[in-house]
Amino acid sequence: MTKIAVAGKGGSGKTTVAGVLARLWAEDGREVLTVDADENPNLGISLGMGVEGTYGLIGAREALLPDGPAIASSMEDVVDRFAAEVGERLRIVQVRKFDQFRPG
Amino acid sequence: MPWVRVVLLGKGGSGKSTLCGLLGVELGDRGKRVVAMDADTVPGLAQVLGMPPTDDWFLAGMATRDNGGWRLEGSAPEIVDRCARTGPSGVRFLQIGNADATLKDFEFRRESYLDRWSGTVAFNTVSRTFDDEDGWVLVDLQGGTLQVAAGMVGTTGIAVLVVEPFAKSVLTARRFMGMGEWPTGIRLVGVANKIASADDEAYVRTELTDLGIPVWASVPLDPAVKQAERNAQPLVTLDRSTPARVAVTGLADRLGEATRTTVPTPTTTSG
Repeated sequence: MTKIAVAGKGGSGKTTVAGVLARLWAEDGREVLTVDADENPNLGISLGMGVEGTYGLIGAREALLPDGPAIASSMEDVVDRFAAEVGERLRIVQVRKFDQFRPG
Repeated sequence: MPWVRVVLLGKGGSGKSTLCGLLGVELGDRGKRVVAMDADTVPGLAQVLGMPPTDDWFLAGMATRDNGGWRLEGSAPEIVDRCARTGPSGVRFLQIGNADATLKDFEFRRESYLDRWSGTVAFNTVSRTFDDEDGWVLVDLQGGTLQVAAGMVGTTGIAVLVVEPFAKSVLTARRFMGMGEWPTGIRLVGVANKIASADDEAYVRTELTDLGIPVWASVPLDPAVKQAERNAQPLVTLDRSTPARVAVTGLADRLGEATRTTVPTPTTTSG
C-alpha cells in the first residue's frame, strides 16, 4: 500500500492534484481510497462529484464522536461505513466538516 | 456612524486577505478609523499591508486566566493602542490566528477545540475597539467555515463572502449557507473575485443568486496583483488605477452606503 499526502497553501491546488492522481491510478487498475482531511473539504469536486454531491458527503469524525450516531470498531470499519463510491476502484472518505453554527 | 465590523470569508486562497488589506487602506484614505485583524492561522494580511507578520501583541501582559480559558485585561481601545501596529493609511493591524499556540508558552491553553478558543476571545475583544466612536473593524478569517462555526463572525455587521469562478469556491459558499440560521444582525453579501471574463462573472452571479446571496462587487483577475506578489511588493502600494483597487473602491462605497441605511449597528459588546 502506498500513502500520499498533498500539502500547500490554501488555493494552491492540493485538492486538484490529489483528485487527478486518484482518478489516474484508479483508471490504471489500482484500488484508490481518497481521504479529504481539509476542514473545508472540496475533494469531491475534483473527483467529479459536483457541488451538491460533495456537499452531501458526511464527516466521518463527527459521526464517530461520543454523542454521534455511530461507533467504529476499527479503521477498516470506518472506511467500510463512511467511504462513498466515486467510481470503479475509487472511493472517498471525508474526515470532518464544520457545517453548523455551534449552539450557544 | 457607530462602528461596523466587516468579516471576510470564503475558500482558502479566494482573496480574502487581499481584499481585506485593500479595503482597509481605502477606508483609511477616506479618513476612517480602521482596525484590520488577521484571524487566519496561516496569516497573509501582513504581506498585503507591508507589515511585519508578528502575532505577539497579546504578549504585552494583558492575557489572564479566566475559568479554564483566558481573557484580555483592559478595554478594547487600550489593547489595540498597546498591541496593534500602525500600517499604511493609518490602518491598525493585529494578527490573532495563532493566539492558542503562543499562549501555550505562557501557560495558557485551550480547554476544548471550539468552546474557549483563544481566537474567538481575541475577536470579540478587539471588535469592541470602537464601542464609543466611529470606526471599522475588518476581520480576515481563515479559509472555510470553521471559524464562523466557532463564533468568529459575531452577531452584527457585514459578512463578505469572497467567491472565485470555480466550483470549489461555490461549494464553500454553499457550505456557509447551509450552516443554519445566520445571526439576524449579520448581512451576508458576496464579492466575485479573480473574474477574467463575462462568463466568469455570470457563473458567480448565478450561483450566488441561487444561494440567495447578493453580489456587491466584482473584482477582476488583475495581473498587477500577481506581479506585485512575485516582487514581494505590498499590494496596498499598487497604483489606485489598477483594476483590483478600482473594484475595491466600489466595494467600499457599497459598504459605506449599507452602513448608513440597513446594517444594524451595535452599541455594546457583541458576539
